[in-house]
Amino acid sequence: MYERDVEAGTIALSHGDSALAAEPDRISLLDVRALILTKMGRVDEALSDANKMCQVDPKCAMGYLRAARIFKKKGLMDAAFKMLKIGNLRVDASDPDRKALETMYIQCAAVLGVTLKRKKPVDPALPTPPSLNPNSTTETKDSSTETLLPLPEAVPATEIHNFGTHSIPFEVIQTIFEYLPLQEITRCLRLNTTLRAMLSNNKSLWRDLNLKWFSHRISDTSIASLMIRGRDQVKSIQIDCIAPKNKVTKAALRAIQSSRSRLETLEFTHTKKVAADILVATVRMHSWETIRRVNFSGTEMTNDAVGKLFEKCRHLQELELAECTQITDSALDSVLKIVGANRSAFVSSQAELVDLPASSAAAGAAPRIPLFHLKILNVAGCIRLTDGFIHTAARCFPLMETINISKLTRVTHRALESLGQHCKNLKGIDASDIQFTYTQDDQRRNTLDTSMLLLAKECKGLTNVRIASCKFVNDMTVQLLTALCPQLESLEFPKSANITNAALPKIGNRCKLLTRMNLSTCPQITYEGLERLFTLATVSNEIKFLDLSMNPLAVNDKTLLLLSRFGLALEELNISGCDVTGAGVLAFAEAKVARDVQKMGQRKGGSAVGQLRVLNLDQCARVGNDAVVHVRKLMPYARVSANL
Amino acid sequence: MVRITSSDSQEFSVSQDIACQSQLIKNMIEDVGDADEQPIPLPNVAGAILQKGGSCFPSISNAPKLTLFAVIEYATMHKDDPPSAPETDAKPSTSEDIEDRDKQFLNVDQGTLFEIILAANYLDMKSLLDVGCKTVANMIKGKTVEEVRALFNIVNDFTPEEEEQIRKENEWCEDR
Repeated sequence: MYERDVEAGTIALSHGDSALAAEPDRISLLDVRALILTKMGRVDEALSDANKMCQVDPKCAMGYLRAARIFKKKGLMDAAFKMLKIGNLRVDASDPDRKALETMYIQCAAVLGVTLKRKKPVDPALPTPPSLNPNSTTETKDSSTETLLPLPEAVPATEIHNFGTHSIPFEVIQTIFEYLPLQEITRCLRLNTTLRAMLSNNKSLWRDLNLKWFSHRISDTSIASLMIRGRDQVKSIQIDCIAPKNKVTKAALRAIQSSRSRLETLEFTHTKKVAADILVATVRMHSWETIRRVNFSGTEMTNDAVGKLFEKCRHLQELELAECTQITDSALDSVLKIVGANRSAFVSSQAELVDLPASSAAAGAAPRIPLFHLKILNVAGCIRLTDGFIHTAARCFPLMETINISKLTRVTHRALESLGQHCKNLKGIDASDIQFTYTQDDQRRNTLDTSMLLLAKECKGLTNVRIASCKFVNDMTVQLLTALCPQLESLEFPKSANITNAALPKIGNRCKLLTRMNLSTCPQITYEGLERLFTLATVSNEIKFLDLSMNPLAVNDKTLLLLSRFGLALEELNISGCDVTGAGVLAFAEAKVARDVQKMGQRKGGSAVGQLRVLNLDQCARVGNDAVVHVRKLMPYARVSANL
Repeated sequence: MVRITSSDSQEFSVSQDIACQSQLIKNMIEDVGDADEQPIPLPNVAGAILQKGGSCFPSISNAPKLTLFAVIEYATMHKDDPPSAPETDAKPSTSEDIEDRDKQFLNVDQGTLFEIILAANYLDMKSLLDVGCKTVANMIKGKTVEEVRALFNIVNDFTPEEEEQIRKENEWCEDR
């Protein structure tokens, strides 16, 4: 390869020589020859050409630029700087290369740590000459990015770096900034030119763009400039447009598309300004192989767009489309067609063995490869969906592990049956606010129990179950779940009027792995029930998150005493709206702190596992301000909420 | 025991398990083999590496004696640590998890801090380098651009127009 270059260079040179012989003063010819000579390593000859250029026309910038570049290549920054300084004095402002000269002069000065007195500011929108900045030549010509400041020239790792008065090697600066969050790195771009060049050319700092918490400030420009810095290395983008003053439009997505990055995660949520086609096209264009997580919640996603997404992105694992109200039951029809064409959601194929998940490899001799790999689906609040959608989804995505079908008022208990029938790997389900009714033939048997029995029987691996404000959740539901699903980790039945004390010992006896329990606003539960639950030691030692809010009958000072004896692992406790007193809370806090200290003494190193992090005492009328102050003093690390 | 000499020909005698926390010294001992009585000729090796790696590395021969002393102190402090977990590609998320004893150890003036970091980088002591970089990251965290400039004596060489443009492009990160 190199030899061919040399050969080509020699031919080019001979042509250049004959041209020069005819017209010896032509500066551009000399410039080309100097460039070729530099490329071939004949640096001294190149320099003498550059020198000649300066002599032929001392007011032309090309000679100084050429010489400076050659010096720079040799590592002689001082000499390059001197050359540029002379050029800066002599060259007229009207010269076409004047600006390039100034830019390089400033960059050179920055590298050497020289402060310049500037006569005339450089136009900030000036594009760096292509030979200086090989990376930016192919970059976006998109309209949204035209006004952006061009990327500064990369600073090679071997040069002297200035971090204020310190000289620090490149990789150390990189390590320092890797510990900083994105907005701090971005802010540091303003420090000076050297640091800006170093940070913005370090693609690995711009890999993970989480802008979720900046929805009130981000704009198309900010996203475009981030994409220029991260370029094809960006792996994850999270943008939320929930703020009312938000200025993000489809231009932001265009910038993402033109970066050619191969994304793994794309979140673009809560905007009505961007059409579904553009959202999906962003994923389909360059990322269809790598994409794993997509979140388009609260957007104008359409049925058509959902179909297009799955048509190309077969490896998608997580899809969130919460509150996309345009989506209807036929959204997955095209997906189902693909599945139907292959007779089932699995293909038996030897060719794709590489992608084979371990679970299905163990299942049988003939490897069954799923067509789609979706594991997490969130369609909460997509109000037009009915049972038909859930049924189709269950058939299309047999590997589904977590599904959120809450706030779907037109979905009924049959959805649970579809899931049980097709998704054997199901681990988590949120089925709050869906419709259950009594079956007509037997008024006393409610449909939740029938459906839940089917689901629990088929999906024994269930770990997380949440069914909020459902009058059909009762002791039988709890009994079914706890009996059939030994791996439950999280049980949440807030606002369930029909759960009684009888259900609690079932939980205590059977759920050895339970870490989260939410029984907020369950009026039939009383202190006696909780006492029985917590004296069953296995459960109470493990529970980390406990929500017993709005249960004044069940939670009082005696309950707190129980918790301080048994709730050893408790990290979050919500007892808002309960009948506890200041003295009770204080006693609980003291006991808990004493326990934690004791535990930490045993476990050297002092990890914070098991310390109470959140305590919610809102609307506890009998707790006084003094008590809250004391509790906060006892647990300075905990967030104590107390809107009394 | 391993004997190492600093730039100003000060000789230190440290036990092998302490000295070998520096990957550089460890490799050197392995290369040289059984060199029990010979002091480790760090300056020479440093010179060779310097030429290869670039000009900005401080060699031990440039590091003041006190820095080497501090680094040995750190290595002694951590000699019983379990070997560090295998590296992952994931971006290190937090700079807050500095052990108290390390915090105390690095509670020094800025010049010394950077010298320790540079020495750790040169000697290839990953844990010390990481904890030093975390400390610097914490110094930057939560400060305005002007405050960071003042902290590290960074001279602003942007034109007002350039700075305004950069600020405008990245408006989202200026939340104070």
